[in-house]
Amino acid sequence: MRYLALSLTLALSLFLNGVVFVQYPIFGIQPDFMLCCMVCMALRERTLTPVFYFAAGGIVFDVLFSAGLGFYALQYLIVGILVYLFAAARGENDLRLVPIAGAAALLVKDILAYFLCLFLGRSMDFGKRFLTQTLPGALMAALLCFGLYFLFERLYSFRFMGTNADLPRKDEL
Amino acid sequence: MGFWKNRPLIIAVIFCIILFVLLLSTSGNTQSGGASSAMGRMLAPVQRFLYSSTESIGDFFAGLSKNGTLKEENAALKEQVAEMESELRDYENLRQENERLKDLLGVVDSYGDYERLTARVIGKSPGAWFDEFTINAGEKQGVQKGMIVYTADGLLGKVVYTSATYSRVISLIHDKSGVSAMVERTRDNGVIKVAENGEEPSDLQLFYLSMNSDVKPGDKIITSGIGGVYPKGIPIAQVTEVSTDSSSEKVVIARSNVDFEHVEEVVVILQLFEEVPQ
Repeated sequence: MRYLALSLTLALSLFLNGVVFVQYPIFGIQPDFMLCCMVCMALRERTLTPVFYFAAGGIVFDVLFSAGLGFYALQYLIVGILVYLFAAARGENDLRLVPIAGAAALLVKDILAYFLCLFLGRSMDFGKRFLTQTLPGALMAALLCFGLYFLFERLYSFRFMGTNADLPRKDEL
Repeated sequence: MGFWKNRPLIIAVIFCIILFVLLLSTSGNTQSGGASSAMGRMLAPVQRFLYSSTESIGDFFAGLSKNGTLKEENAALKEQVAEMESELRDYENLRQENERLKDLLGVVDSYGDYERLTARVIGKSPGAWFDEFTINAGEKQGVQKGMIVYTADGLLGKVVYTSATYSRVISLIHDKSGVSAMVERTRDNGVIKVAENGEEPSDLQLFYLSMNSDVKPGDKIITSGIGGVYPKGIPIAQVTEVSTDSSSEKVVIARSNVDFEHVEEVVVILQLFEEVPQ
């Protein structure tokens, strides 16, 4: 049931990210719902399972939209690993860190995407994009993560979502 | 030592390496076929359905909010249609006369004599990292890589990837796309690309215009047909600003005719204008 919940969350995220927000951005910004869900779930679970799921979602985006297989998947996977390491190192859920983690995740993801674009030979004005898209997007991600975290806390209160069985001890990192 | 005991983390890092190698090997690969193309063919109908459903729902809510002004708009549009029908009759006469004169001069109409296909936009790359659209026409409908795509407003871009039932189109405002263009009024030739310091993402700049050029704001820019990549006469943009700098050419900024945020239907010219490696 936990994996079903993960799959449904992924499907909803793919729909919102790939269809809805592309056509109807909010104040010109496309919120990265997929990233926010991954951050919230990784912070709550402190496992890599949601990261793998959302990286697979990134592969779907790569097939449909990208010039190279791995462009979107790499971003979600790398950011997810960093969020997991951060969550595992903290060892406890601090609500104040959730919006910070969401904003930081989007900043890292966009910077990574910029370098991958350069690697693919697609140069762009990152400074302008950073000011007009990335920074407002980070703020939006922070707010979205803060709201979503409460929903996921409710979801994880159900028994079928499992426990933090994979939590590594701090001295293992 | 702790890292080596964390098996999921090791697997995740290995996946990162695999994805990076995949990105290296598949970047720039625009050939159809293979697992990703098969997956794309399966997902394209779903994507098309979701995209058009979302669009319909959005249009419904937008229509509700505009209900009050619809009657007035309807009356104004009916009047406009009546005027246009009258103009159309005049244009038809002029067109026939033009055809006769062209026959006399032996001029080849390089813009109007190609087979065309109308397609619908069913997807757009999320995150706005790639200015690419997905359309619901592919190899089965005769679309090939390199074919030109335009809308009712003007030039949109080129096909960069085809599959059996869908294709991806790269838009004109992508950084590397340069188009041979000319100012319609003055017939000055140049190359139009994305403006380096434009105010809007759809701002373009016309390069290689001489200082003697008489281009003014409001002038229309069309494809020149030089180089054979784009047929002549497709509208591209309208000049918004003309200035000079210390170099030997004028700085001409133009805004694309196409609203890249709201493209719905496109037309593909089913003719290749250059030898494109497949």
